[in-house]
Amino acid sequence: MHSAVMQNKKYIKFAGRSTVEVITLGSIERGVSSGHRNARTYEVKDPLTGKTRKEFALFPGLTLEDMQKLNRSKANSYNRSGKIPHTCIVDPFTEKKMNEWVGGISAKTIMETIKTDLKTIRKEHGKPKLTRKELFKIRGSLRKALVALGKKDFNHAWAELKSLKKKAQHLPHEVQLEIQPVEEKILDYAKAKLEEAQALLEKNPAKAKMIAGSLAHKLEGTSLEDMAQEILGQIRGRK
Amino acid sequence: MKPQRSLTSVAVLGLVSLTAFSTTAVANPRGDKKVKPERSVVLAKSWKAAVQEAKLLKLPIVVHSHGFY
Repeated sequence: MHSAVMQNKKYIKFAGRSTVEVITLGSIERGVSSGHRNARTYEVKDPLTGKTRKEFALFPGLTLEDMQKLNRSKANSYNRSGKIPHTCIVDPFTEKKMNEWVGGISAKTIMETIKTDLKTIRKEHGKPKLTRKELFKIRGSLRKALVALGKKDFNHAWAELKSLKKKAQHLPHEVQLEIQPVEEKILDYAKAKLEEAQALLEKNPAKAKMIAGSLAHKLEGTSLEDMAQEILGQIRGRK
Repeated sequence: MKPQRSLTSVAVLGLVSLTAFSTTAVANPRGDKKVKPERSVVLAKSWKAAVQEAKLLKLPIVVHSHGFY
């Protein structure tokens, strides 16, 4: 069932533009502890944290922890049949089942049903304001900004964020919600740099000026604008 | 006339195949560098993320409930 649908070339292509895919998996702990073939993992280094993740080869992108969380989530409540495999289509707005199949089912049948359910969803909620490709591009930019910040490259991170915010201005609120925590992280870094400049006012005013001066212009219009100007004002007052 | 395989060569071939199969069946249960991700649909990392993305893109969610084996 897994290979007939989730690894089916046609279904993968179709799902890329027509669905969001979720899996819940029974007996996963037993499978992993027994070293079953399906438990094979590959290592991925997270560029943000530097930590290595072990993701299942059969379920790329998912770790054991992700799988366990999915098994504890609402996703696991849709199969009331007590049998596997079980496949269902869920409306994300009501979180209710639209269709379901107990036992094996062909990718073709699932795709035909999804087409109808997709029409129903869009009839009720309208067309989306962005495509998945655009969403992935936004997430890619956010990731780039965070990676740059991880390398202490504030200028790169800020430039990436600024260009993204400009593009995302007219996009749905949910997109802004994804940008917000990244912006906060970048501003936290800038705040720490300004505090560093403040601490250097007595000891090394030239360095303090360099730090605050390089940030002041970029931080215009943000909550840190006043702080940067205050530091520069203090430096000017000393002369 | 087709060449006939001797009983010994068939046995050796079988033994080699069995060894190869058993090696792949039990090896690298975790984090092996030789293991590569298999072709698959993109899976949501959490239910919350799935709902959020599906609402944003106005798409249905497909929930697959499978067993490990």
